[in-house]
Amino acid sequence: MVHLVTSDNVEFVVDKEVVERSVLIKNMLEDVGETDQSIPLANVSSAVLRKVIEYCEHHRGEPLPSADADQNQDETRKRTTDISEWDQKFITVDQEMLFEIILAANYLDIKSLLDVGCKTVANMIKGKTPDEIRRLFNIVNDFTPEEEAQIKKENEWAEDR
Amino acid sequence: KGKAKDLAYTLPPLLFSTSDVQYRAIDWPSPDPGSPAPSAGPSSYGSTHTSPPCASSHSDSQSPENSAQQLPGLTRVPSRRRSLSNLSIHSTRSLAARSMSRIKVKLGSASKGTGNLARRLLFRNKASAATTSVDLSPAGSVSDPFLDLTTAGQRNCLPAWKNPEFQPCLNIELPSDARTYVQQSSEGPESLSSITGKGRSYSSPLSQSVFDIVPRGNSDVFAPVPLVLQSVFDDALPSELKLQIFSALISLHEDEFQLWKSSGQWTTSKASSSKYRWVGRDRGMRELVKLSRVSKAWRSLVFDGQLWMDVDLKAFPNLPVPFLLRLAETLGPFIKNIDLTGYTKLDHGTLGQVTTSLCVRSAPTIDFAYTQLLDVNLSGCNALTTQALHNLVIHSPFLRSLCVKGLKAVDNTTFDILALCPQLTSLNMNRCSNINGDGLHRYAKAVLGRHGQLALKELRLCGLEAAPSLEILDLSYSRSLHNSALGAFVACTEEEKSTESVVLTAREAGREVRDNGRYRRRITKLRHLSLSNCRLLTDVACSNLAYAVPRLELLELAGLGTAMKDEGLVRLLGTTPLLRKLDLEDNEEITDAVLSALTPSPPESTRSGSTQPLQTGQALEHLVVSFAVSLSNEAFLSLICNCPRLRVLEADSTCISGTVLKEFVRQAHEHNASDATLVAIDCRAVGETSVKDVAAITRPRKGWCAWDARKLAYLDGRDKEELKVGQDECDEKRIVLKSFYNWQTVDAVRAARERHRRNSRRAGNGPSDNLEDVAQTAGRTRWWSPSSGRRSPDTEAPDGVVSDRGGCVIT
Repeated sequence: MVHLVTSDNVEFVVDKEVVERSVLIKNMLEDVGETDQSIPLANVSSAVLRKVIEYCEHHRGEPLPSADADQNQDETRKRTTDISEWDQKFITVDQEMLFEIILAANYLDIKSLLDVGCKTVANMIKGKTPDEIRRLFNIVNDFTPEEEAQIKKENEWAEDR
Repeated sequence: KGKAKDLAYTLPPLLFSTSDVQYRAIDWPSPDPGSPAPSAGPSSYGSTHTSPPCASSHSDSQSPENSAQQLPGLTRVPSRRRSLSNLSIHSTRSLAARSMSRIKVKLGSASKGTGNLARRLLFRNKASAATTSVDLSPAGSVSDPFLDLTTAGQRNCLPAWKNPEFQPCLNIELPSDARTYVQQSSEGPESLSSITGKGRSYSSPLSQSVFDIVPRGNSDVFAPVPLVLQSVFDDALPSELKLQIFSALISLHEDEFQLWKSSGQWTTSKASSSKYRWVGRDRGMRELVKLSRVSKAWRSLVFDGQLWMDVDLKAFPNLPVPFLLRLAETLGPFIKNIDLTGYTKLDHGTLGQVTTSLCVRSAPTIDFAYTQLLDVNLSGCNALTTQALHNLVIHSPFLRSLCVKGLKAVDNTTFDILALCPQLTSLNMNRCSNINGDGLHRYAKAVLGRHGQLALKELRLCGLEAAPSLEILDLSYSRSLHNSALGAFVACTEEEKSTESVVLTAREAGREVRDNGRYRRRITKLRHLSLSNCRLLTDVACSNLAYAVPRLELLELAGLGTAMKDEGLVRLLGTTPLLRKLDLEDNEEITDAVLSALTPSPPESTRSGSTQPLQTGQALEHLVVSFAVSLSNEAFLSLICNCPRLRVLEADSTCISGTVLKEFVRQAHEHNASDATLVAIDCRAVGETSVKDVAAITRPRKGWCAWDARKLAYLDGRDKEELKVGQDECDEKRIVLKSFYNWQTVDAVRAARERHRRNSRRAGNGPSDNLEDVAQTAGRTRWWSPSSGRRSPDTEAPDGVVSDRGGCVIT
């Protein structure tokens, strides 16, 4: 069992096998060895860690991507694996949580979760007009009309006709 | 004033995108004085739209306004136009005043209307200047409530503006911005001072501008949010994660396309609809570029070098030059591969600038800028000059592959410059008319002198003009590089002498040699040899190649004419067991001996001279023997029966009979080969009946699904078109059979489609009527149309039936 302490000082006790999906923690455990001391995760809040652990629990036992997987292998894997139904349900959270999960997955180095997160965001972006995206992510359009017109002209070929 | 101007250009978060549209929609009063209706129209529109509860009070005030508008028109003739605009000002102002209490909610979107606001301000200020004198007396009753409302509005509004929840910039800059607009665009009798003065004559200029920016449109729902909330996406994620998301976006599109293809959803009709013109990666790239319009931060993300290591723009030929330059500028040295295929307008200056932008500035001690380019494809960039091309190459020392197919800009000096790229492994200079053997010679000499070895693995120089130096070049350098797999040798006139012997002395002997024992031959690693259209070659070349090219897989000897005789060819073929493709087009003299050399012997026979376990022909997939008129049907039959992999047979203008045709189709069908092809055009011996017999498992064309193929209108069984004619052209298990009769089916399909379209427009005819029409319009339509009494070779024809018939036919 591994003890994890989040940024808001909540302690989680998780199976080693489960938590080792995080390459960060895995490496840490390898370095430290067996210990009862808790691992502080200063960048992760309890709400997010709960979700992350839920993910790791569900994917328990699945083969970990080998540490030295080269870029090519990564690419092919990324392409062949689509977001599974469970993952899709899992990742259906509000935007803030979604980004928090992505951040946590990046910090904890959980490649598959990071992929799922990125794909989900990409799916949100896909097929939307710039205006819709601004609304989606609360982005302020900081172009002047002249700038925007120019960009529009330059990118005319990419706009839908 | 100066300050105001400055501020106007530093407006941070305004949304300008729709200001144009709004302005047009508002339809400001035209100069025509006799039409008060349009001016009243928009204002009432605005009021009902934005504030339904106020509509009634507004319409109350409308009529007095109209009268007010008329009066100044009468009294002050020269300022008619202004008085007109006065009307609309009044109405909007009243509207604005009334909706003032709601301005808290709408401020966000209010900023959208800045352009609009400016114009309104302009009008209003002019208008007020024009009419203040007149306005007060007759329309005083009207303006009074306005004033009341104005002050009431101020009371409601101003505290809200000072509320810290609102961004202060709006408070200050909107009015100032508006004023600058007024100042900039004001003209006519109202001088600047009069405008500003009149503007200030209202109790508060600030509140007036606020009135005017009351928005219309339905974006209110979203508008307050950006002011209050921060963008989670922009703030929470570091840029490397954002980039990862963007690259996930591209791979999403690729995945989607793969999924379509693998699930059979990718059909001709889908591919031909403009919605799916761009698919896969191309669609992703387009979307990515589109995202650059979201905001400045996004734009810099989109053009981040990480996403653009491969700049593959061949799907989007002739993008605007500014975009290319921006791409080159922002990505700079990140670009490793660049593909500009088809940029026919790419000119000297543009490429020069691109090259400069791509350069890495190296350490100050080294005064040389270089790019990181590895692969460059410039085929089709016909507007390039030699200088621009050389400039690019000179600055790209790491170049790995270069494709400059058919460019006039390439000449012999290009070779000299290429010698500076030691890592060049692939060079494609096909059909470059300005090069010859001299240049290649110089290239090889320079590289060998400097590096001792040529890294070249692929050299395509088809169309190279004959050069005496080339044979020497070929010999010596192919010997010294040894691993070179030369993709194509064309027009090396006496090539046979050079490959024949290790030492160059045996030239003359080499030509006559029949006994290979006396000469040592270098065994090359050549896998693909193309000697097509080397008019001076004879079959002696082949016999000289024998034993030297045991790994040869693709051999192209087309167009050698009557000079190509059996003997040398047979000798060569005996030593190339791995041969997969053989092109002997236009070699009229070849006879059955060649075919039998290609035919692997049945187990009991040992006719083939090869001692290797694998016999020539066992790997053969593609054979072209067009115009070889002396080949007999028997030889074809035994070839077809004994070459297990044979997939493509091009035998147009030969004497093949229907039996051969049917046997080929049967074999290919039995082997379940995909994209098997038989070309039997102009074969007199192939009759309509034999074509008809195999119709159920053949197709006239090899269809493919893409936007570019839409004009070819392939018939795709998956689209369920119900045409009742034609054959599924996208089913790769069907054998592509090209003959006169098959082409007719293509015409028939087209005619049927046209008829179908016409009928569906008429929308009254039954299907049977339709079919008869097809038969009539097609004219030549015979066996494939239902009217001939035969069941049409439709897509749902069961394959089992077909193979049975095929079995019966062969005797």
